[in-house]
Amino acid sequence: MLALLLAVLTQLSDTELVARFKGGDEHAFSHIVRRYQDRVFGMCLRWLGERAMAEEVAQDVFVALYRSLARFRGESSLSTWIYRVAVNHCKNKRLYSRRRRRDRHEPLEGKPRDDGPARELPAGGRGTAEGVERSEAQVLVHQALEAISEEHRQVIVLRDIQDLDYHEIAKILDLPRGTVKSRLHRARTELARVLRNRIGKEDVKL
Amino acid sequence: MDEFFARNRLSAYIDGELSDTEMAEVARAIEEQPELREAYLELKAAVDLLRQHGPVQAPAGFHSSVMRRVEGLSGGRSWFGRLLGPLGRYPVQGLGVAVVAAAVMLLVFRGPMLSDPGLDNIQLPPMSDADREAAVPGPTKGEGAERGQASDPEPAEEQQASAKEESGSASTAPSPSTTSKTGTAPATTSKSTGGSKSRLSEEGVVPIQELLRNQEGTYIPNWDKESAPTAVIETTTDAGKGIESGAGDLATSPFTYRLTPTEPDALRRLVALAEKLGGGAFTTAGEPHEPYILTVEKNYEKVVLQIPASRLESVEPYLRSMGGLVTVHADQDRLYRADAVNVTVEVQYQP
Repeated sequence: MLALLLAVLTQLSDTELVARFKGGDEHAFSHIVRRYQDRVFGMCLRWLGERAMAEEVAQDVFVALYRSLARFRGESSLSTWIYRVAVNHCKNKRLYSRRRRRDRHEPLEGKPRDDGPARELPAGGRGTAEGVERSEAQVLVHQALEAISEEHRQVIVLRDIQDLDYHEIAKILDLPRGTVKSRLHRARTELARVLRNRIGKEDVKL
Repeated sequence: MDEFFARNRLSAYIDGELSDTEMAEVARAIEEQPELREAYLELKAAVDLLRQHGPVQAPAGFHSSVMRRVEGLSGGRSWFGRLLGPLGRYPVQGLGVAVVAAAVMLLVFRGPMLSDPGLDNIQLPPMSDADREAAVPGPTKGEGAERGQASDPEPAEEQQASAKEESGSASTAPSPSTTSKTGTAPATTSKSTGGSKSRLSEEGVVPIQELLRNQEGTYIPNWDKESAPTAVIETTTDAGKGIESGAGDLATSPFTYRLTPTEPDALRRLVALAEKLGGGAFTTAGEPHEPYILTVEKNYEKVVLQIPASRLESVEPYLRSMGGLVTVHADQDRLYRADAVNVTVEVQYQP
Protein backbone atom coordinates (compact mmCIF):
# COMPACT_ATOMS: atom_id res chain seq x y z
CA MET A 1 0.00 0.00 0.00
CA LEU A 2 2.79 2.37 0.98
CA ALA A 3 4.71 1.42 -2.13
CA LEU A 4 1.68 2.22 -4.21
CA LEU A 5 1.32 5.57 -2.51
CA LEU A 6 4.98 6.37 -3.12
CA ALA A 7 4.62 5.38 -6.75
CA VAL A 8 1.67 7.71 -7.08
CA LEU A 9 3.55 10.55 -5.41
CA THR A 10 6.52 10.07 -7.69
CA GLN A 11 4.30 10.80 -10.64
CA LEU A 12 2.89 13.98 -9.19
CA SER A 13 4.11 17.40 -10.18
CA ASP A 14 5.43 19.87 -7.63
CA THR A 15 2.17 21.79 -7.76
CA GLU A 16 0.17 18.66 -7.07
CA LEU A 17 2.45 17.70 -4.20
CA VAL A 18 2.03 21.12 -2.63
CA ALA A 19 -1.73 20.88 -3.03
CA ARG A 20 -1.75 17.48 -1.35
CA PHE A 21 0.41 18.78 1.48
CA LYS A 22 -1.95 21.69 1.99
CA GLY A 23 -4.73 19.15 2.10
CA GLY A 24 -3.03 17.44 5.04
CA ASP A 25 -1.04 14.73 3.25
CA GLU A 26 2.26 14.52 5.12
CA HIS A 27 3.61 11.98 2.66
CA ALA A 28 3.59 14.69 0.04
CA PHE A 29 6.12 16.69 2.00
CA SER A 30 8.25 13.60 2.50
CA HIS A 31 8.30 13.21 -1.23
CA ILE A 32 9.23 16.83 -1.79
CA VAL A 33 12.22 16.26 0.48
CA ARG A 34 13.24 13.20 -1.50
CA ARG A 35 12.86 15.08 -4.75
CA TYR A 36 14.97 18.05 -3.73
CA GLN A 37 17.35 16.79 -1.07
CA ASP A 38 20.28 16.15 -3.39
CA ARG A 39 19.91 19.50 -5.07
CA VAL A 40 19.54 21.45 -1.86
CA PHE A 41 22.32 19.62 -0.07
CA GLY A 42 24.56 19.88 -3.12
CA MET A 43 24.01 23.58 -3.40
CA CYS A 44 24.68 24.13 0.28
CA LEU A 45 27.82 22.01 0.16
CA ARG A 46 29.25 23.77 -2.85
CA TRP A 47 28.35 27.14 -1.45
CA LEU A 48 29.44 26.65 2.13
CA GLY A 49 32.22 24.18 1.56
CA GLU A 50 31.79 22.26 4.78
CA ARG A 51 29.86 19.04 4.77
CA ALA A 52 28.50 19.17 8.30
CA MET A 53 27.47 22.78 7.92
CA ALA A 54 25.88 22.08 4.57
CA GLU A 55 23.86 19.22 6.00
CA GLU A 56 22.66 21.34 8.87
CA VAL A 57 21.70 24.21 6.60
CA ALA A 58 20.02 21.92 4.09
CA GLN A 59 17.94 20.41 6.87
CA ASP A 60 17.06 23.91 8.06
CA VAL A 61 15.91 24.73 4.56
CA PHE A 62 13.44 21.84 4.55
CA VAL A 63 12.23 22.63 8.04
CA ALA A 64 11.64 26.23 6.97
CA LEU A 65 9.89 24.90 3.93
CA TYR A 66 7.66 22.72 6.03
CA ARG A 67 6.71 25.61 8.27
CA SER A 68 5.76 27.87 5.42
CA LEU A 69 4.66 25.57 2.65
CA ALA A 70 1.03 25.99 3.62
CA ARG A 71 1.37 29.68 2.75
CA PHE A 72 3.15 29.09 -0.51
CA ARG A 73 1.12 30.96 -3.08
CA GLY A 74 2.63 29.44 -6.14
CA GLU A 75 3.67 32.76 -7.67
CA SER A 76 6.93 31.12 -8.57
CA SER A 77 7.67 27.47 -9.09
CA LEU A 78 8.32 25.32 -6.05
CA SER A 79 11.81 24.71 -7.33
CA THR A 80 12.59 28.42 -7.52
CA TRP A 81 11.14 28.99 -4.11
CA ILE A 82 13.15 26.18 -2.53
CA TYR A 83 16.31 27.53 -4.11
CA ARG A 84 15.55 31.01 -2.87
CA VAL A 85 15.08 29.74 0.65
CA ALA A 86 18.29 27.73 0.33
CA VAL A 87 20.22 30.68 -1.06
CA ASN A 88 19.08 32.88 1.79
CA HIS A 89 19.97 30.26 4.36
CA CYS A 90 23.41 29.84 2.83
CA LYS A 91 23.97 33.58 2.73
CA ASN A 92 22.94 33.95 6.33
CA LYS A 93 25.13 31.08 7.39
CA ARG A 94 28.06 32.47 5.51
CA LEU A 95 27.64 35.91 7.00
CA TYR A 96 27.23 34.46 10.45
CA SER A 97 30.36 32.35 10.08
CA ARG A 98 32.30 35.31 8.77
CA ARG A 99 31.25 37.41 11.70
CA ARG A 100 32.25 34.70 14.12
CA ARG A 101 35.64 34.43 12.51
CA ARG A 102 36.05 38.16 12.66
CA ASP A 103 35.11 38.16 16.33
CA ARG A 104 37.78 35.56 16.92
CA HIS A 105 40.24 37.79 15.04
CA GLU A 106 40.88 35.07 12.52
CA PRO A 107 41.81 36.14 9.00
CA LEU A 108 38.93 35.75 6.60
CA GLU A 109 40.97 35.05 3.52
CA GLY A 110 43.98 33.00 2.83
CA LYS A 111 43.44 30.61 5.67
CA PRO A 112 42.46 27.05 4.95
CA ARG A 113 39.29 25.88 6.55
CA ASP A 114 39.51 23.76 9.65
CA ASP A 115 37.96 20.82 7.92
CA GLY A 116 39.35 21.14 4.47
CA PRO A 117 38.28 19.55 1.25
CA ALA A 118 39.61 16.13 2.16
CA ARG A 119 36.45 15.45 4.13
CA GLU A 120 34.55 15.63 0.89
CA LEU A 121 35.98 12.38 -0.33
CA PRO A 122 33.04 10.27 -1.44
CA ALA A 123 32.87 7.42 0.99
CA GLY A 124 31.73 4.92 -1.57
CA GLY A 125 34.61 5.56 -3.90
CA ARG A 126 37.47 5.11 -1.51
CA GLY A 127 39.93 2.39 -2.24
CA THR A 128 39.29 2.17 -5.97
CA ALA A 129 41.12 3.85 -8.78
CA GLU A 130 37.93 5.36 -10.04
CA GLY A 131 37.07 6.51 -6.58
CA VAL A 132 40.44 8.18 -6.09
CA GLU A 133 40.16 9.92 -9.45
CA ARG A 134 36.68 11.07 -8.64
CA SER A 135 37.81 12.24 -5.25
CA GLU A 136 40.61 14.28 -6.73
CA ALA A 137 38.26 15.93 -9.17
CA GLN A 138 35.80 16.72 -6.41
CA VAL A 139 38.54 18.12 -4.23
CA LEU A 140 39.64 20.25 -7.15
CA VAL A 141 36.11 21.51 -7.66
CA HIS A 142 35.86 22.30 -4.00
CA GLN A 143 39.15 24.16 -3.90
CA ALA A 144 38.38 26.12 -7.02
CA LEU A 145 34.99 27.19 -5.71
CA GLU A 146 36.53 28.19 -2.41
CA ALA A 147 39.03 30.37 -4.21
CA ILE A 148 36.56 32.52 -6.12
CA SER A 149 34.39 35.27 -4.75
CA GLU A 150 31.09 34.41 -3.16
CA GLU A 151 29.17 36.42 -5.73
CA HIS A 152 30.74 34.39 -8.49
CA ARG A 153 30.34 31.13 -6.63
CA GLN A 154 26.59 31.74 -6.37
CA VAL A 155 26.00 31.89 -10.07
CA ILE A 156 28.37 29.06 -10.88
CA VAL A 157 26.78 26.73 -8.37
CA LEU A 158 23.32 27.51 -9.66
CA ARG A 159 24.23 27.27 -13.32
CA ASP A 160 26.94 24.66 -13.67
CA ILE A 161 26.20 22.41 -10.73
CA GLN A 162 22.47 22.82 -10.29
CA ASP A 163 21.96 23.18 -14.03
CA LEU A 164 19.43 25.99 -13.73
CA ASP A 165 18.74 28.24 -16.67
CA TYR A 166 19.49 31.97 -16.68
CA HIS A 167 15.89 32.91 -16.13
CA GLU A 168 15.54 30.79 -13.03
CA ILE A 169 18.86 31.99 -11.62
CA ALA A 170 17.73 35.56 -12.16
CA LYS A 171 14.59 34.90 -10.17
CA ILE A 172 16.40 33.10 -7.39
CA LEU A 173 19.07 35.76 -6.96
CA ASP A 174 16.67 38.59 -7.72
CA LEU A 175 18.89 39.92 -10.46
CA PRO A 176 18.23 41.00 -14.02
CA ARG A 177 18.88 38.25 -16.53
CA GLY A 178 21.59 40.30 -18.19
CA THR A 179 23.42 40.62 -14.89
CA VAL A 180 23.31 36.87 -14.44
CA LYS A 181 24.76 36.44 -17.89
CA SER A 182 27.64 38.85 -17.40
CA ARG A 183 28.33 37.72 -13.86
CA LEU A 184 28.44 34.12 -14.97
CA HIS A 185 30.96 34.99 -17.63
CA ARG A 186 33.20 36.74 -15.14
CA ALA A 187 32.74 33.91 -12.66
CA ARG A 188 33.73 31.23 -15.12
CA THR A 189 36.69 33.25 -16.27
CA GLU A 190 37.83 33.60 -12.68
CA LEU A 191 37.27 29.91 -12.06
CA ALA A 192 39.25 28.94 -15.14
CA ARG A 193 42.09 31.16 -13.99
CA VAL A 194 42.06 29.54 -10.57
CA LEU A 195 42.09 26.08 -12.09
CA ARG A 196 44.89 27.05 -14.43
CA ASN A 197 47.00 28.29 -11.53
CA ARG A 198 46.16 25.30 -9.38
CA ILE A 199 46.76 22.38 -11.63
CA GLY A 200 48.50 23.76 -14.66
CA LYS A 201 47.11 24.85 -17.94
CA GLU A 202 47.65 21.56 -19.73
CA ASP A 203 45.89 19.52 -17.09
CA VAL A 204 42.77 21.63 -17.23
CA LYS A 205 42.34 20.92 -20.88
CA LEU A 206 41.15 17.39 -20.29
CA MET B 1 33.77 39.15 -35.05
CA ASP B 2 36.06 41.28 -32.90
CA GLU B 3 38.00 39.16 -30.40
CA PHE B 4 37.02 41.23 -27.39
CA PHE B 5 33.38 41.06 -28.43
CA ALA B 6 33.57 37.31 -28.94
CA ARG B 7 35.53 36.70 -25.76
CA ASN B 8 32.79 38.32 -23.72
CA ARG B 9 30.29 35.95 -25.27
CA LEU B 10 32.14 32.72 -24.69
CA SER B 11 30.24 31.85 -21.55
CA ALA B 12 26.87 32.48 -23.15
CA TYR B 13 28.10 30.57 -26.20
CA ILE B 14 28.82 27.52 -24.06
CA ASP B 15 25.29 27.72 -22.68
CA GLY B 16 23.73 28.33 -26.07
CA GLU B 17 22.32 31.58 -24.78
CA LEU B 18 23.11 33.66 -27.86
CA SER B 19 21.03 34.36 -30.89
CA ASP B 20 21.58 32.08 -33.88
CA THR B 21 23.54 34.79 -35.64
CA GLU B 22 25.78 35.42 -32.65
CA MET B 23 26.31 31.70 -32.10
CA ALA B 24 27.54 31.37 -35.65
CA GLU B 25 29.77 34.43 -35.38
CA VAL B 26 31.37 33.28 -32.14
CA ALA B 27 31.89 29.78 -33.54
CA ARG B 28 33.63 31.23 -36.55
CA ALA B 29 35.77 33.52 -34.39
CA ILE B 30 36.82 30.55 -32.25
CA GLU B 31 37.90 28.69 -35.34
CA GLU B 32 39.81 31.61 -36.76
CA GLN B 33 41.50 33.03 -33.69
CA PRO B 34 43.86 30.72 -31.77
CA GLU B 35 43.91 32.83 -28.62
CA LEU B 36 40.17 32.90 -28.51
CA ARG B 37 40.04 29.17 -29.08
CA GLU B 38 42.41 28.67 -26.19
CA ALA B 39 40.26 30.81 -23.93
CA TYR B 40 37.16 28.93 -25.04
CA LEU B 41 38.70 25.53 -24.36
CA GLU B 42 39.86 26.61 -20.96
CA LEU B 43 36.43 27.93 -20.06
CA LYS B 44 34.74 24.83 -21.44
CA ALA B 45 37.06 22.55 -19.47
CA ALA B 46 36.24 24.40 -16.27
CA VAL B 47 32.52 24.16 -16.93
CA ASP B 48 32.75 20.46 -17.79
CA LEU B 49 34.69 19.76 -14.64
CA LEU B 50 31.98 21.40 -12.55
CA ARG B 51 29.15 19.67 -14.37
CA GLN B 52 30.75 16.27 -13.99
CA HIS B 53 32.04 16.50 -10.48
CA GLY B 54 30.01 19.29 -8.90
CA PRO B 55 26.75 17.53 -8.11
CA VAL B 56 26.67 15.50 -4.92
CA GLN B 57 24.13 13.33 -3.20
CA ALA B 58 22.63 14.08 0.14
CA PRO B 59 24.21 11.96 2.87
CA ALA B 60 22.57 8.74 3.94
CA GLY B 61 19.92 9.37 6.51
CA PHE B 62 19.36 12.95 5.41
CA HIS B 63 15.72 12.35 4.54
CA SER B 64 14.92 10.64 7.80
CA SER B 65 16.71 13.36 9.75
CA VAL B 66 14.58 16.01 8.10
CA MET B 67 11.40 14.06 8.68
CA ARG B 68 12.29 13.53 12.33
CA ARG B 69 12.78 17.25 12.78
CA VAL B 70 9.56 17.95 10.99
CA GLU B 71 7.64 15.46 13.08
CA GLY B 72 8.84 17.40 16.09
CA LEU B 73 6.80 20.31 14.83
CA SER B 74 3.56 18.71 16.02
CA GLY B 75 2.23 17.52 12.77
CA GLY B 76 2.88 20.66 10.89
CA ARG B 77 0.75 23.00 12.88
CA SER B 78 2.23 26.36 13.67
CA TRP B 79 3.17 27.28 17.20
CA PHE B 80 0.14 29.51 17.27
CA GLY B 81 -2.08 26.64 16.27
CA ARG B 82 -0.55 24.44 18.93
CA LEU B 83 -1.00 27.17 21.50
CA LEU B 84 -4.64 27.52 20.64
CA GLY B 85 -5.12 23.78 20.32
CA PRO B 86 -6.50 23.26 23.84
CA LEU B 87 -9.13 25.90 23.20
CA GLY B 88 -10.94 23.54 20.90
CA ARG B 89 -11.00 20.64 23.30
CA TYR B 90 -11.43 22.51 26.58
CA PRO B 91 -13.13 25.79 25.79
CA VAL B 92 -13.43 27.17 29.31
CA GLN B 93 -10.03 26.09 30.59
CA GLY B 94 -8.46 27.07 27.31
CA LEU B 95 -10.00 30.50 27.42
CA GLY B 96 -8.69 30.96 30.93
CA VAL B 97 -5.21 29.95 29.84
CA ALA B 98 -5.40 32.32 26.89
CA VAL B 99 -6.49 35.24 29.09
CA VAL B 100 -3.73 34.62 31.61
CA ALA B 101 -1.20 34.23 28.81
CA ALA B 102 -2.37 37.46 27.21
CA ALA B 103 -2.07 39.29 30.52
CA VAL B 104 1.45 37.96 31.04
CA MET B 105 2.40 38.89 27.51
CA LEU B 106 1.04 42.38 28.05
CA LEU B 107 3.08 42.80 31.19
CA VAL B 108 6.23 41.40 29.68
CA PHE B 109 6.05 43.09 26.32
CA ARG B 110 4.48 46.38 27.33
CA GLY B 111 7.72 48.04 26.38
CA PRO B 112 9.56 45.49 24.33
CA MET B 113 12.84 47.28 24.09
CA LEU B 114 12.76 48.39 27.65
CA SER B 115 12.19 44.95 29.06
CA ASP B 116 14.62 43.30 26.71
CA PRO B 117 17.41 41.93 28.89
CA GLY B 118 19.77 41.80 25.96
CA LEU B 119 19.34 45.45 25.22
CA ASP B 120 19.70 46.48 28.81
CA ASN B 121 23.32 45.54 28.70
CA ILE B 122 24.19 47.14 25.40
CA GLN B 123 27.13 49.47 25.65
CA LEU B 124 27.72 51.66 22.69
CA PRO B 125 31.30 52.18 21.60
CA PRO B 126 33.00 55.30 22.82
CA MET B 127 34.07 58.02 20.45
CA SER B 128 37.39 59.70 21.05
CA ASP B 129 37.87 63.43 20.99
CA ALA B 130 40.20 62.94 18.07
CA ASP B 131 37.42 61.30 16.14
CA ARG B 132 35.15 64.17 16.91
CA GLU B 133 37.76 66.64 15.78
CA ALA B 134 38.25 64.72 12.58
CA ALA B 135 34.57 64.50 11.90
CA VAL B 136 33.54 68.11 12.07
CA PRO B 137 35.65 71.05 10.93
CA GLY B 138 35.74 74.27 12.93
CA PRO B 139 32.68 76.21 11.76
CA THR B 140 30.45 73.16 11.82
CA LYS B 141 31.60 72.30 15.29
CA GLY B 142 30.51 75.68 16.46
CA GLU B 143 27.11 75.20 14.96
CA GLY B 144 26.86 71.84 16.62
CA ALA B 145 27.74 73.38 19.93
CA GLU B 146 25.02 75.94 19.56
CA ARG B 147 22.53 73.22 18.96
CA GLY B 148 23.92 71.19 21.82
CA GLN B 149 24.78 68.24 19.66
CA ALA B 150 27.25 65.53 20.48
CA SER B 151 29.52 66.44 17.62
CA ASP B 152 30.79 69.21 19.80
CA PRO B 153 34.05 68.16 21.39
CA GLU B 154 34.48 69.37 24.91
CA PRO B 155 36.65 68.48 27.86
CA ALA B 156 35.39 65.84 30.22
CA GLU B 157 35.07 68.38 33.03
CA GLU B 158 32.76 70.50 30.93
CA GLN B 159 30.77 67.46 30.02
CA GLN B 160 30.29 66.63 33.65
CA ALA B 161 29.48 70.18 34.54
CA SER B 162 26.95 70.52 31.81
CA ALA B 163 25.55 67.18 32.74
CA LYS B 164 24.97 68.38 36.25
CA GLU B 165 23.25 71.46 34.95
CA GLU B 166 21.11 69.43 32.66
CA SER B 167 20.31 66.60 35.00
CA GLY B 168 17.46 68.60 36.38
CA SER B 169 15.81 68.72 33.04
CA ALA B 170 15.50 64.96 32.99
CA SER B 171 12.41 65.22 35.04
CA THR B 172 10.83 67.30 32.32
CA ALA B 173 10.82 64.31 30.04
CA PRO B 174 9.07 61.72 32.10
CA SER B 175 8.80 58.24 30.85
CA PRO B 176 7.06 55.38 32.62
CA SER B 177 10.05 53.19 32.27
CA THR B 178 12.71 55.71 33.13
CA THR B 179 12.50 55.14 36.81
CA SER B 180 12.37 51.42 36.46
CA LYS B 181 15.55 51.38 34.45
CA THR B 182 17.49 53.99 36.32
CA GLY B 183 19.06 51.47 38.59
CA THR B 184 20.66 49.59 35.77
CA ALA B 185 22.88 52.45 34.67
CA PRO B 186 23.38 54.83 37.54
CA ALA B 187 26.55 56.32 36.14
CA THR B 188 24.87 57.78 33.12
CA THR B 189 21.21 58.20 33.79
CA SER B 190 21.65 61.56 35.41
CA LYS B 191 23.24 62.78 32.22
CA SER B 192 21.02 61.08 29.81
CA THR B 193 18.15 63.27 28.91
CA GLY B 194 19.37 66.81 28.88
CA GLY B 195 21.23 66.84 25.62
CA SER B 196 24.03 65.34 23.72
CA LYS B 197 26.68 67.22 25.61
CA SER B 198 25.95 64.91 28.46
CA ARG B 199 25.49 61.87 26.35
CA LEU B 200 28.81 60.24 27.04
CA SER B 201 29.66 58.97 30.46
CA GLU B 202 33.10 59.46 31.90
CA GLU B 203 34.20 56.36 30.04
CA GLY B 204 32.61 57.69 26.92
CA VAL B 205 30.09 54.85 26.96
CA VAL B 206 26.35 55.21 26.67
CA PRO B 207 24.09 52.39 27.72
CA ILE B 208 21.54 51.72 25.07
CA GLN B 209 18.63 51.75 27.46
CA GLU B 210 19.41 55.38 28.13
CA LEU B 211 18.47 56.12 24.59
CA LEU B 212 15.71 53.62 24.26
CA ARG B 213 13.81 54.62 27.31
CA ASN B 214 13.37 58.01 25.80
CA GLN B 215 11.58 56.58 22.85
CA GLU B 216 8.31 56.38 24.67
CA GLY B 217 6.04 59.26 23.97
CA THR B 218 7.30 62.05 21.81
CA TYR B 219 10.48 62.91 23.54
CA ILE B 220 13.58 62.51 21.42
CA PRO B 221 16.79 62.37 23.39
CA ASN B 222 19.78 64.46 22.46
CA TRP B 223 17.76 66.68 20.19
CA ASP B 224 16.22 69.99 20.70
CA LYS B 225 12.65 69.17 19.93
CA GLU B 226 12.32 72.14 17.67
CA SER B 227 15.39 71.37 15.63
CA ALA B 228 14.87 67.65 15.35
CA PRO B 229 13.91 66.74 11.82
CA THR B 230 10.44 65.44 11.29
CA ALA B 231 10.35 61.76 10.60
CA VAL B 232 8.29 61.00 7.54
CA ILE B 233 7.11 57.45 7.46
CA GLU B 234 6.46 55.96 4.08
CA THR B 235 5.63 52.34 4.36
CA THR B 236 5.46 50.27 1.28
CA THR B 237 5.05 46.58 0.78
CA ASP B 238 7.06 44.57 -1.62
CA ALA B 239 4.05 42.56 -2.56
CA GLY B 240 5.66 40.93 -5.52
CA LYS B 241 8.11 39.05 -3.39
CA GLY B 242 6.27 38.06 -0.29
CA ILE B 243 7.02 34.76 1.24
CA GLU B 244 8.80 33.44 -1.79
CA SER B 245 11.59 35.85 -1.13
CA GLY B 246 12.30 34.59 2.33
CA ALA B 247 14.70 36.85 4.15
CA GLY B 248 18.36 37.40 4.26
CA ASP B 249 18.98 38.52 0.74
CA LEU B 250 21.15 41.58 1.00
CA ALA B 251 19.93 42.90 -2.29
CA THR B 252 16.33 42.77 -1.20
CA SER B 253 16.25 43.77 2.43
CA PRO B 254 12.69 43.78 3.64
CA PHE B 255 13.37 46.98 5.58
CA THR B 256 15.12 50.08 4.38
CA TYR B 257 15.56 53.23 6.40
CA ARG B 258 17.13 56.57 5.63
CA LEU B 259 18.87 57.89 8.69
CA THR B 260 20.28 61.38 9.15
CA PRO B 261 22.39 61.17 12.29
CA THR B 262 23.98 64.19 13.83
CA GLU B 263 26.77 62.27 15.41
CA PRO B 264 29.82 61.23 13.45
CA ASP B 265 30.16 57.86 15.13
CA ALA B 266 26.76 56.72 13.86
CA LEU B 267 28.27 53.82 11.94
CA ARG B 268 29.90 52.42 15.03
CA ARG B 269 26.64 52.70 16.86
CA LEU B 270 24.86 50.79 14.14
CA VAL B 271 27.43 48.02 14.20
CA ALA B 272 27.25 47.86 17.98
CA LEU B 273 23.48 47.73 17.85
CA ALA B 274 23.45 44.88 15.36
CA GLU B 275 25.99 42.86 17.28
CA LYS B 276 24.35 43.40 20.61
CA LEU B 277 21.09 42.21 19.17
CA GLY B 278 22.82 39.03 18.11
CA GLY B 279 23.26 39.97 14.48
CA GLY B 280 25.85 41.77 12.45
CA ALA B 281 26.46 44.74 10.22
CA PHE B 282 27.54 44.32 6.65
CA THR B 283 28.21 46.25 3.53
CA THR B 284 25.81 45.83 0.66
CA ALA B 285 28.41 43.55 -0.87
CA GLY B 286 28.03 41.24 2.08
CA GLU B 287 31.33 42.03 3.73
CA PRO B 288 31.46 42.79 7.45
CA HIS B 289 31.04 46.50 7.84
CA GLU B 290 34.05 48.34 9.17
CA PRO B 291 32.69 51.47 10.79
CA TYR B 292 34.47 54.75 10.41
CA ILE B 293 33.90 58.25 11.62
CA LEU B 294 31.63 60.20 9.33
CA THR B 295 32.79 63.58 8.17
CA VAL B 296 31.31 66.45 6.26
CA GLU B 297 33.08 65.21 3.16
CA LYS B 298 32.45 61.51 3.66
CA ASN B 299 28.95 61.71 4.93
CA TYR B 300 27.08 58.86 3.25
CA GLU B 301 27.15 55.15 3.86
CA LYS B 302 24.80 52.25 3.38
CA VAL B 303 24.84 49.59 6.04
CA VAL B 304 22.95 46.30 6.11
CA LEU B 305 22.08 45.22 9.61
CA GLN B 306 21.30 41.56 9.95
CA ILE B 307 19.03 41.23 12.91
CA PRO B 308 17.37 38.18 14.45
CA ALA B 309 13.70 38.49 13.55
CA SER B 310 12.71 38.31 17.20
CA ARG B 311 14.75 41.44 17.97
CA LEU B 312 13.74 43.46 14.96
CA GLU B 313 11.29 45.65 16.76
CA SER B 314 14.12 47.15 18.79
CA VAL B 315 15.83 48.53 15.72
CA GLU B 316 13.54 51.31 14.56
CA PRO B 317 13.21 53.03 17.93
CA TYR B 318 16.95 53.00 18.30
CA LEU B 319 17.46 54.43 14.84
CA ARG B 320 15.04 57.19 15.71
CA SER B 321 17.14 58.02 18.72
CA MET B 322 20.10 58.62 16.42
CA GLY B 323 18.50 61.25 14.24
CA GLY B 324 15.93 61.86 11.57
CA LEU B 325 14.53 58.66 10.20
CA VAL B 326 12.58 57.92 7.08
CA THR B 327 11.19 54.49 6.43
CA VAL B 328 11.83 53.98 2.78
CA HIS B 329 10.62 50.44 2.64
CA ALA B 330 9.09 48.10 5.17
CA ASP B 331 7.82 44.71 4.20
CA GLN B 332 6.07 43.52 7.30
CA ASP B 333 4.90 40.53 5.36
CA ARG B 334 8.37 39.08 5.50
CA LEU B 335 9.05 39.91 9.09
CA TYR B 336 8.50 36.63 10.81
CA ARG B 337 9.36 34.28 8.04
CA ALA B 338 13.02 33.88 8.64
CA ASP B 339 15.36 33.64 11.57
CA ALA B 340 17.23 36.75 10.55
CA VAL B 341 16.07 39.86 8.74
CA ASN B 342 18.18 42.35 6.86
CA VAL B 343 17.63 46.00 7.55
CA THR B 344 19.27 48.40 5.16
CA VAL B 345 20.15 51.77 6.66
CA GLU B 346 21.19 54.60 4.39
CA VAL B 347 23.17 56.91 6.61
CA GLN B 348 23.40 60.58 5.63
CA TYR B 349 25.46 62.38 8.21
CA GLN B 350 24.14 65.86 8.97
CA PRO B 351 26.28 67.57 11.59
